[in-house]
Order: sequence, then structure tokens, then C-alpha cells
Amino acid sequence: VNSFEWTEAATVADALTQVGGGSVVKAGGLDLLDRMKEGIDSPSRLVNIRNVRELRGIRQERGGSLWLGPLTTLAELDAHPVVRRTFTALADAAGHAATPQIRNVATLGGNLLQRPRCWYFRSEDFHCRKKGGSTCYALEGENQYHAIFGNEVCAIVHPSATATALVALEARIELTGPKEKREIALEDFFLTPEEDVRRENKLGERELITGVRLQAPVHPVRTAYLKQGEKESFDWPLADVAVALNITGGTCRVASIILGAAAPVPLRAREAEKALVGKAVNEETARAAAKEAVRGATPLARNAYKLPIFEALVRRALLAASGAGGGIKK
Amino acid sequence: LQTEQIAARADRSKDYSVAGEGNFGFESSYGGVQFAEVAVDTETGVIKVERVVAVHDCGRPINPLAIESQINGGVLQGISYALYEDRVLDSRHGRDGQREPRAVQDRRLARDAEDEAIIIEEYVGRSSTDAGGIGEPSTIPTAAAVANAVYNATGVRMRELPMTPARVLAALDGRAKGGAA
Repeated sequence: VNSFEWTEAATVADALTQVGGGSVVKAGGLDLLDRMKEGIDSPSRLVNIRNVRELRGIRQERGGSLWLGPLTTLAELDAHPVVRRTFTALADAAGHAATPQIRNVATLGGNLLQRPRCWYFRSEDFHCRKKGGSTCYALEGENQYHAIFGNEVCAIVHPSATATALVALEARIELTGPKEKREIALEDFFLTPEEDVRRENKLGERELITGVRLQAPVHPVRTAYLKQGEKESFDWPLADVAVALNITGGTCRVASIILGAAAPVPLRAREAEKALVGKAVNEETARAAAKEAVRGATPLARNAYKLPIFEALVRRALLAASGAGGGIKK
Repeated sequence: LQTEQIAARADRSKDYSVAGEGNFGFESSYGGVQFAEVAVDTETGVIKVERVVAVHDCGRPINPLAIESQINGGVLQGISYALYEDRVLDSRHGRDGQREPRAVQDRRLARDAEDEAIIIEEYVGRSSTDAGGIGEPSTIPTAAAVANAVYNATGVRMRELPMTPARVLAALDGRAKGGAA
């Protein structure tokens, strides 16, 4: 680890005067410290925002939306009664990441901003495209955990499980810079490698995430999140899926189906959504939608096994959300 | 446990000098048998080890709790190498001598599985105390027991460790296409 300076920020305004240049924000510090130890990040200064009170907590707002502070820990998301009841997919995504120790420290903002787990990116021996090089080593290399969609330029998968759920829930993200505050759909926050191979999102160098907002569902929404790792705990997903459905009068009116660990960004399975809308959700329609979810995939030499896993998870998540059975095992 | 059972005495030296007079050769044929119960998700290729029963002979069990813990640990390591542990080397850059061959992934370890240790008091491994050894034996049969259970559940033989979802799905796919089990 390089030598670095450490400063404390007490407020968002205070933090904003300190970030940028060689200074980076530290919240839970889990991924950042890993990257520093792995020698792929060497910031000159860490700005500790962990004690910024205005970034903590979960609040119900006027109009019924739910504001999630970026310093909310994964454990708090998992345990929060409103999140668990109304946005079950998010509670399950947060509650099945990593380990209890990590979930007690890791923050929502940090989870969304994690850098990819690609082992070529994480190894200082490989100067890949993400680090300014000219090669994606995964394309011809060890790509068993890599992307099956959108993998032509850089085959990372987006590492955030909460992003998978939040995109399915059509969350918005609030970004605050020195001059202005902006709010965009979380789905638009993430960048594909074609857009910018060096970055995974649109957070400006001098911006902070100051909130994640979930609109109150206009219609009752049923959600589910399923993750399949190699291990049952302390593992990143080989595949994860979040779904949010509005089912009225026995018919699916709105479907949001997002695949995580499938592409460099949380991936909306549009054809699967189309296949489901207007139909009852049952074994047969869920199976058909699941087939659509993996259609058009471009698996690499070692990761085609992910297709049947995604297909199974999409079908199971749809059935779990619809109340027809299944669901995540605790 | 009586003191005389674990005390070395000159008159017992022939018991534990099986390889010849004055030679402390060990009779080391300790037996062990393990049974595994697994669930195989045939859609995702994920194997879950539900239960392992480990039956081991270790001579005189002087400290049964420590022996059971040793067996539990051995079984857990066995499950780990059956299902998870791997050192993935980049096949081009790990081999060309240009750089230090380097594992891109460290091994993963199993968390837990229900397992039951049964200790058999079989005094073939004679030492001054009649105690034998249980350091490594409990790791040896686990992966084979798991693989046999997978065969029993699905009809496919797993020929390579670790038995990852990718390998299980490929084996199941081979069966579906009429390949040899």
C-alpha cells in the first residue's frame, strides 16, 4: 500500500471541498482497501465520509418515495422492515452479499461503486483495457466468471448485487457536485465498456452519491431476487436475477427483469419482459420468458454454463415473485 | 481411560514393534469409510452436500472430542476440494515464462455441512498408548464419496475436481446427448 493522507469529512459540503485530484472518498473502505493492497489504486488522500450523518439512514418521503442514504449498510437494508416488505428483492440482494461481517460495514454507495472482480483487472500483472492497456485478457483467457452479454470490448460483469435489484425496482440515484445536484435513473448511471472502458459509471470526479430513491410503486409490485454462487455464502454470484412484477387480475401488467453478473452493467432482459406482459405468470410463461432472457447471449469459451443457470434463475424468480412458489433460501 | 492403557511399558514393546525386534515400525493400516448424501440441482449444476457420515479407526481414542473435531475438519476440507478448490492459471501467461506463473484465483473453502463422526476402536496400530493417527485419513475418502453420491443421484460420473456447476452441467449435457456416463 502506498503512503497516503487521511482526512475526515463531517458534512457533504465539507467532503465536496476535499474530493477530486488524487483524493478519493472512503466509506466502508472494503473494496477501496482491497484495491490499494492489490496495487491497482494508489490515492494520495482518503477522505473518510463514514461519519457524515446526512448520508445515513432510510427515510420515507412525502409522496411515498423511500430515500436510502448511501452510507446505509447492507445489513441495515436487509433488516429494514419497509425495504423487506415493499422491496423484497433489494433486501435479499443486500442480505446475500458477502458475509455478515462485511454486510455490517459495507455501504450501499460503496456496493454500487465497487470495481469489477475480473481477476485480470485485479491483478497488477495484467495491464488490461480497464487500466489503459490495449487488451482484454479475459476474451481469450480464463473467462469462466465473465460476461455472456456485451462482452466484445471488456468482459467484466458488474459486481453489485444491490444494483441488480435497484435497477429492477427503477431506483434513481442522486449525485451531488460542488455546484449542483442531479438525479438520474440508476439504469442510466452505469456505463458500458463501449461508452467508457475505464469507468463503470457516470459519477463525476468531484461528485458524491447523496442518495438512492425508490418511488412508491403506483401499482402493487411483487419482487424477487435470486443469486447463484459456487458457494452458498461469501461468494460473488455466477448469476443473479431481480424481478419486479405488477400482476393485476391474474395478468402481468408490468415486468422488470434484470440480470446481474451477465454483462458489464446490470442488464435488462427486454425480450423476456415483453414475453411476460399480458400473460398470467405460471410455470409455462415463466419458462418461455426465461428462454428469452438468454437469447442472443455471446458466451465466451468457458462461460456458456451460465446460460442454463440464468434461465433457471429467471424462471424461479418470476415464480417466486408471482407467489407461485420458489424464492430464495435463507 | 486407565493409566496403564496409555503407559509405555517394557513388557509391551513387542506389541508396538511389529516390524521386528527393537524396530519401532508402525502398523499403519487404519481404515476409514465415508458416506455422502448430496442434492444436485440439475438446472444449475450446483451440488449441495447435505450430510456426511465418517467412520474412522484411529486406535485408542484418547480424546474423542479432539478426534471428532479432526474428522469434521478433514471432511470439510474434503468437501472443499471436491466442490470448490482450484488454482486457476492463465493458460497463456502462466506458461510462457514471461511472468511469474500466478494463480488468478485463490482457493475457496466450504463453509459447513452436517457431518457425523463415528470412531471405531480398532487396536491394530500399536503404539505405546495404543493410540493411532487421525491427521489425514478423514480427508481422503470425502471427495470420492461426494462424487459417488452425485453418480447415484444423476447417473453421471464426475471425472474431474472440483465438481463445479460448469462441469456438472457439461456432464449432465453429455448424458442428455447419449454420451457415456
